[in-house]
Amino acid sequence: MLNSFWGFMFFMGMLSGVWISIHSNSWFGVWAGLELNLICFIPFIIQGDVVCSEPSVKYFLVQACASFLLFFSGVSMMNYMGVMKSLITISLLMKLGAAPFYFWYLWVGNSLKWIQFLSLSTIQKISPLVLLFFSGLNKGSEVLIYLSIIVGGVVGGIGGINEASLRKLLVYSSLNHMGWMMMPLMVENELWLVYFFFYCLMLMMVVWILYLLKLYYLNQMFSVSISWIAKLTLFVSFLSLGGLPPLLGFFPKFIVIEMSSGSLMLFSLFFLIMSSVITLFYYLRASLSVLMLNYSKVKFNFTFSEKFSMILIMIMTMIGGVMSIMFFQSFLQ
Amino acid sequence: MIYFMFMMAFMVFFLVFKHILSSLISLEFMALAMFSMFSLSPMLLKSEMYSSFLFISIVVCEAALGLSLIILWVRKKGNDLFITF
Repeated sequence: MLNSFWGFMFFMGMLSGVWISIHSNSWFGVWAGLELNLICFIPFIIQGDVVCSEPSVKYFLVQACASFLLFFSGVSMMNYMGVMKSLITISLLMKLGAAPFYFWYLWVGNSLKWIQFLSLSTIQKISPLVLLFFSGLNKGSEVLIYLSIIVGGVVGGIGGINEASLRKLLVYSSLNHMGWMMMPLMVENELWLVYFFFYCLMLMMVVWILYLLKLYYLNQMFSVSISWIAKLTLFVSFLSLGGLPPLLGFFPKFIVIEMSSGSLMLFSLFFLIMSSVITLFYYLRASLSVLMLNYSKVKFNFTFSEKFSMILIMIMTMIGGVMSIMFFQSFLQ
Repeated sequence: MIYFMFMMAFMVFFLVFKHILSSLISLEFMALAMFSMFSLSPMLLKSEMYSSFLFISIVVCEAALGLSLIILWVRKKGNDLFITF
């Protein structure tokens, strides 16, 4: 993707679209950045599946519609109609793939290769989240974001139970994490960015291993024979995504719980915590092949010599959790 | 009036069941409603109207992208219907 000249140009265009929409003063710049982001991301989706590229059409339709809606409701806010405020939130939730607008994300995410899935889940989420934070409209349309948090948490938890495709599993997990991320957003706290950064890191670690092994489905995980370091790394990365305490993934959840435990948001916090346990269930099921000592191995040799990155991932997850609590003491007050 | 035009276009976008080209057309209808808003409201306020040019140029890029995506779809599936057997 980044090897060719045009791949590099499109990637830079994607990032500059994000940059433009974050740093602009008016809704025009926001829309221009979002359109640039969309236009430069579509070639990456096509590159994964050059023949038909069905996910690119779905992605394009939903995102174009949402950015038109955002622009229109932003520009026509000069009449201060109450409807327009919630329309802006609706369009940003549609862009994110948050609940209740997550169906396109399921379909598109299931048809992408891992690198495109990773950039769909991390880079494409930056600008709508920043816009949700900066638009400051959460005072007026709180109900919508509450809905998104609770429904996203619960659906992200329960929806992934019957999934065999690893990409759909990670889409449901990202729904759940979106719910966690929007909790600080609602009270205009900057901690959502910390959560987003840690989520990107953890997702990158999981997707990196799955990309190297080219695993797309749950039953494929039982037919790779890899070294015990790689298996342990996969296990630990999945657990960290689920939010188990000494690992890296616990820290952002702990910040959100700390921030919202004294406030009136206990109701949604309850739903989020309960659904996190359910997500942990399907992460554990995904990493079940690690725990099997004696299973049928494939006959041909599978060379997997990425030891350094595995060890790096392991260090980041295991030690990073404790280190970040020590470093970010100021966040916890 | 332009609110009505835009909302109708938005509704038509969601009520499309068969052809992908219909949803592209409704996207262009949304863009048309916004373009008319950008052209007409500065006239009422007696200010400059250059933002409509910038808007329409980006919309044209996006429309061209949508059309080329439909071409990819039709090449594989033979038609531009959402559901084929």
